[in-house]
Amino acid sequence: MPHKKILILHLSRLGDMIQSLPSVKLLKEDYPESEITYFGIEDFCVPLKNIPWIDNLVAIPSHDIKGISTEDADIDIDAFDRLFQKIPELNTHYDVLLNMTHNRGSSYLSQRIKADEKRGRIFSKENEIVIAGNWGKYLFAVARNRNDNLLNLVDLYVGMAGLRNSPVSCYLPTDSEVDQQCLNRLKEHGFDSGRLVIGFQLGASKSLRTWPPEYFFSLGKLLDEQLDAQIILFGSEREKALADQFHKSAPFTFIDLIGRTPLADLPSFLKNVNVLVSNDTGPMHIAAAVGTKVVGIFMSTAYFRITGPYGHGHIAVQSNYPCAPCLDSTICSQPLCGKSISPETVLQGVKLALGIEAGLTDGSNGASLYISDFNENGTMIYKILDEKNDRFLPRLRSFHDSKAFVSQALWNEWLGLKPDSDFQITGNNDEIADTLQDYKNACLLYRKLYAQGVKACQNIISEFRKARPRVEFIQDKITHIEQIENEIKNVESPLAILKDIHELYSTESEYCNFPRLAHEFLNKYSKLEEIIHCFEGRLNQINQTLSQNA
Amino acid sequence: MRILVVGAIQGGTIPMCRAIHQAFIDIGQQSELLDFSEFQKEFFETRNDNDRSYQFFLKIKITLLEKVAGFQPDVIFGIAQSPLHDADMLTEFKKAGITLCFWFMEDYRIFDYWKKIAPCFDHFFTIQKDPFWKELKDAGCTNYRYLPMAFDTHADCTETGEGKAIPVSFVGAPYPNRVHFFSTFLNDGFQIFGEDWNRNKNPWVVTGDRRITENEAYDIYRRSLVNINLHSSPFPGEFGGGDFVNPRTFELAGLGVFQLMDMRKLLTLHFDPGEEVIALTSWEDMKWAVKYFLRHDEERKAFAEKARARVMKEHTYRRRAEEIIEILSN
Repeated sequence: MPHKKILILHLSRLGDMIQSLPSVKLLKEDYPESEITYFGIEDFCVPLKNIPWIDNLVAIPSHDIKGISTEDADIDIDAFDRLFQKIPELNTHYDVLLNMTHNRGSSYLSQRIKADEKRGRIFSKENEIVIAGNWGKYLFAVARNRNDNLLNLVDLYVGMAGLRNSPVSCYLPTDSEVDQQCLNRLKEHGFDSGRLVIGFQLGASKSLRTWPPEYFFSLGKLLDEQLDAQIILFGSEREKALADQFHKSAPFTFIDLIGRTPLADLPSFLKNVNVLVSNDTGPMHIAAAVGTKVVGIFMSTAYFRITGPYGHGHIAVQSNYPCAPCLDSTICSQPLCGKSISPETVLQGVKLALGIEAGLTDGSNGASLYISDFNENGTMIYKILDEKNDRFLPRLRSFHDSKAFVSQALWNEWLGLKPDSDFQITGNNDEIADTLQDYKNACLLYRKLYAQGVKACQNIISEFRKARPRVEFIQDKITHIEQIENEIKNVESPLAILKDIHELYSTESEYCNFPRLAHEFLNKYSKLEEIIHCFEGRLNQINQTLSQNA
Repeated sequence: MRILVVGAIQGGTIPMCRAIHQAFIDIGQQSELLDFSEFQKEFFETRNDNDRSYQFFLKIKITLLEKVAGFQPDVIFGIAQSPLHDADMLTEFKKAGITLCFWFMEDYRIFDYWKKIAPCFDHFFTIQKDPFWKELKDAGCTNYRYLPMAFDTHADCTETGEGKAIPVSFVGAPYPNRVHFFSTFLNDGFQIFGEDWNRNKNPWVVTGDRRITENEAYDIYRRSLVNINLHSSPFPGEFGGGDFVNPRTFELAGLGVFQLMDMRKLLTLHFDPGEEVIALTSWEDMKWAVKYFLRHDEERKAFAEKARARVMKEHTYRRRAEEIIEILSN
């Protein structure tokens, strides 16, 4: 293993941090001799203390993170200077730096830390943000095109770390003493270890992503009536108000742990739960990390494909609203999509997570149910459980799924992932044929544009080799390149991720003189042409596979 | 309350002036409409000649002053494009004890005349919230309030929609985003109606050389199985994500016809984007949804009916007039 000292930078929220842990575990498994340093925000680092494969956990205090973990264009250099003075690990030389943080401040931090190899989001020499590596580029491109992607954030981090994807379980070890203490505390509240236990995580970091508390209440009643389940409410101190309805009128018994589970103890508490029903939030990922089955509820900006609980057999309940998940530009002031997810649908999800035959629920067009599994290539996949083809909302979700299956099949090769031998696309056959044709047309268009770009760059380069380059000719070619770039910017096609990858490649071009710039652009167009070539080959394979299956 | 509604000289807000005037009457107010639309021809004839244009606007001012002197309103109510731009005149009206209101039903990013006029009004109604409100505050306007568009139930009385069915249609102006997206709309019997579309060489343009009248628009809406409602944007590739909800959303819903629209930040305050109108976040989804709904008549009708019921309950000009009167009374 050539890399001895590895630094992982994760100055994000709790959920994303937990989703990075499988890659840390795989890193240590693959390279046991390496020394892994993990940088995180102090408030969220608490549950990471018992992880044996992190050699140095560096927790940056929240008050020091202000001005560091930021998307502001103006970098507060003084804040960074202070941090470097305070934290000696920042002044160490690393073999590999992995920046898994999604903000500008971390890119600058990555630029200042000394490392032989840097991956993820970093600053270029011109202070432009560049994303190193195919996986990193893909991760940042799908952030704006979530409907076209099937990969979970866990797998994206694993890929970014240069590791082979494979299923990872129990990636958040707990202390057995703390486990026992937490069990004792539960018993003090009347906990009966012989009964089915369902946890409710009522809150979320954003109210937009919170399933209505009255729906949790109705679900509690259904679980009590149908499964005789014990309900445990989880949440932080500031989420106490969400439990009011339970206290006022619940006809079933429940244990209220809201505000009573310090983050350090939360993994141990969650181990005692059979299923956690949760909004897309940090505790949901902690439950999955300790091996507890999760039913995740996804609405508003939350989307199950990328931030669904990682592992086998988790259930995602995704709102089918036509505008869900919200784009950055479409976040509405008063989301209604949460109300489209009925308590009956989530109950069905709980039963499925428990392995109980659930049957289909009437009137559940507002949400679709998915179950997690693993592909042959080691990545996780959420598979639809209750495909309904007779109403618009679930059919639109199914259309998104079909598109995402094709899109993912195309990108997998570029990411170095093997295609599954039993490749299938769910959905209507005519629509799948249309979708494939749309992708083919898009490839044709991009191939034409990139070929034009390559030719224009080659013309500029050869003109500059002449004793007297013709300025007008070069100017004409530069104008042509500008037109190509503009056309790519405005092209409407299903290859939306490619458009963003194109932009990410563009930021890698250094400001320099024309002949050099032509070389840079030639390099970019050639790389993108290769992607298209790869897509076209894969599309032919998919067509063949589908014809054979038909 | 004596309310003088000052109508627009030209543009798409003329019917809205009539609608809110009628709504004030319907709820028992004494409203009069100063209908400037009859000056439209003269406006277009004079607008490129400074001297004649000056004379024209002088005539408009005199007409307004005469009306105010004759009617002696408690309230002057202007709507986007109403000729209420003279700050000195507005100050004089205020001194005379007249409450000044303006309903700015435009996108503040495209039409910026609000900067000049907004501080002159006692009540400035907008169809957008922040960041517009912050900019209004910075411009010295403090009494702003959100007032969304509405449906004119009186305009619903015309006998239209009996002609040949149109599978998919769009009525409106060729803003850059519409030109961009409609250029990729390949089939499904799409038809476009609206002034200036002829310049864009789009094969689906049916009427592109003139403004579509209100009655014509309603006829097209009713004959269309699917009405495309794509909000205007100056950015070609922008789909959805703007804030305000356009008048067409309320009109289509109020007429009980089916629409597919782009998602708006303020939409859920007025409609359910999964139950009453279908609001989408990408042009690809829009194209797919068109195909879907052309095959699903009953589902299409069910959405349209729910949208109409919502409009009748909450989004008529009568309701807006009641809201305005309540604000003025307080």
